[in-house]
Amino acid sequence: MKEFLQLVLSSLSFGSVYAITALGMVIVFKASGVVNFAYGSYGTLIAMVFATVYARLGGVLAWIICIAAALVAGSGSERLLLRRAERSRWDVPLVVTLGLFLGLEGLMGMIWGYYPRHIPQAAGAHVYKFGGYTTTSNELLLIGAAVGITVLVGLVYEKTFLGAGMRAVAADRDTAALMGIPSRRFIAGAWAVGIAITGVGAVLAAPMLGLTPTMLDNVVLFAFAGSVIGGFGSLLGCLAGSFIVGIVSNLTAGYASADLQLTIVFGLLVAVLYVRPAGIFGKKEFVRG
Amino acid sequence: MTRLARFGRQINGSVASIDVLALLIVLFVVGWLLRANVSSLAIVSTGVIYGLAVASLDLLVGYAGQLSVGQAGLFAVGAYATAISEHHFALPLPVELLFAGAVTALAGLILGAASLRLKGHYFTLVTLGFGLAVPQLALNLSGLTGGYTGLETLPAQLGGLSFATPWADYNFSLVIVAGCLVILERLLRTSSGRAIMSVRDSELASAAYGVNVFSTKIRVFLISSFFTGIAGDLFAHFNNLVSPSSFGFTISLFFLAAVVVGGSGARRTTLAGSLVGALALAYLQQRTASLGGVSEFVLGVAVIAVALLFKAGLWSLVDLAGSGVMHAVRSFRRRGRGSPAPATSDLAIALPLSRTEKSSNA
Repeated sequence: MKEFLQLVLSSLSFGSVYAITALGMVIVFKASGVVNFAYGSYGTLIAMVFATVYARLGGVLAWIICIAAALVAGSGSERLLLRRAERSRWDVPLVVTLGLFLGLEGLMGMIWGYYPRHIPQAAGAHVYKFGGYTTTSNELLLIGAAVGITVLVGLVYEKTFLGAGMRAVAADRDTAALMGIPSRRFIAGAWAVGIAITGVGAVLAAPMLGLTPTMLDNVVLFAFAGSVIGGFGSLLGCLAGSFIVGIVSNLTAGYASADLQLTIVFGLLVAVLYVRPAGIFGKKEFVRG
Repeated sequence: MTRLARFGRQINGSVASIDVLALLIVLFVVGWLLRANVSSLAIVSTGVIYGLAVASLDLLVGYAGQLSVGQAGLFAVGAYATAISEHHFALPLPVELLFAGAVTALAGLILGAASLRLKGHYFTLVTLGFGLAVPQLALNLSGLTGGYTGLETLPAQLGGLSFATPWADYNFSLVIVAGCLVILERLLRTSSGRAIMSVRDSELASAAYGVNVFSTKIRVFLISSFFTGIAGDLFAHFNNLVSPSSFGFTISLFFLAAVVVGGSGARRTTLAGSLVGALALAYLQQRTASLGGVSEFVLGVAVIAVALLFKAGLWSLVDLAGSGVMHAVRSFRRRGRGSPAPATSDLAIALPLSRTEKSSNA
């Protein structure tokens, strides 16, 4: 029982990484309707930039530069690439993001190589023990960041004019444009913010995962599974689903084998999609025209 | 319909799968020229075997409009079926090919049943999960699959004939791939083939015309995975080893990239594009194996470029060159005979083509 609880406790930090990644993905999906398979590669790229700048210029500048890079990469990809595919069939943008996935990963492999790189722990490496259970400051920071960012994004969506505009663009881009909402700018903005959130998650998670070009490949799949299980498009569902996936995958690794994590999680995903196609917290999906 | 195929119709009155056959003849000659150079022949061999897997994926992605990213998983099932059958019960070669195809079709049926009720990116997601799960299962069922080290396989053998040398194995693969591609090409020109494409273009409209959408999709899955399984069988004999590292997620993406870059069925009606894409993939993979990341980068950029700008893919270039040669031959012969050029109506061909072009753009 104690082993079980320790596994659940340590899975919360993984769940948080999945939640932060999924959140970025959902923000982009809500605004543009594009599922970005290249998400992990963007996040890893940001973490790579952080590690490189940190080694030369220190922490504060590294954060500023990596967030700026994330905003530019996000809005730039939307403006230069995805926008060209927005009137095509649904699978064209998907193929473009798969191409981005391959391209970015190859680029990182060419620049930084495939050996893990050093990246500092953002919250230091303190270990806390209570009642026989252990956790670290970095894990706590991750959990805090996941919950904090979800709440913040939720508040922006529900309470501000910006969020109302976002929801309007998601519901019907053309009508929103007729109402005077600059849809295109909103979509590019959503990409920028989405990539930045994933980038922050990647920087925080990199010491735990090991910084290589393929660091977030599995994370993105878990995040995907988590957000679909929770209900793609729902922020609360995204958070809950990610934690569920984190717990399930960690228990699989603890009791069976780390090699079976993806298989079990995807089995769970297929089962949930059959029983509740919209996910646990999702509303019935509307068809985008 | 491509220029070459149109020319084929003119010369023998029926659309033979002339694009594919012409390409395979060229490949035979290329292989013959390279037969002394083992590493170059290995590239072409890999390309031809991948070609069948990529063409099967094209059937699913380009013709039926189901964006699957789990192809390496099915390819792996075919290869493992071959290796396992070889270790436990030696089957004669034709039976073994059919066995690999049938086992993979069964796996495809399971995947199809799990994923086809879902639409769009949800479907893609489930195929992705399948592609990841197969190598992981192969790692864990080590009693059957040999785990991390995998299973060794023997060269293909038919009666007293052994395809042990690279050149013999290449010919064996080429013949099987040619047969499969011709069957696939033929299939696409039957009413089932047209039903497949109509489901891609509009499920609602094809249902209104009496096409059973779900059973058509399941059928495509079965056919596509059957031929993928045969490609897996060829790969097992070619590689002499079946291990999880040959079937990772990147390979699934590479196969999809080959479909897109070669020129997918959404843009034309020939599988030759897949073969060209697969050859390009095999070449890149082999040449940049020691340079980490280069093949991923090049393929990624190529996929984006083809998806957004250069939509017809590599095959259109080959086709253009090929039709140039054909045209020269034809005008030379015509001059020799002194007869006027046959009046061909491009309208009948151009009209439906331009319509599908539009609907796949919409």
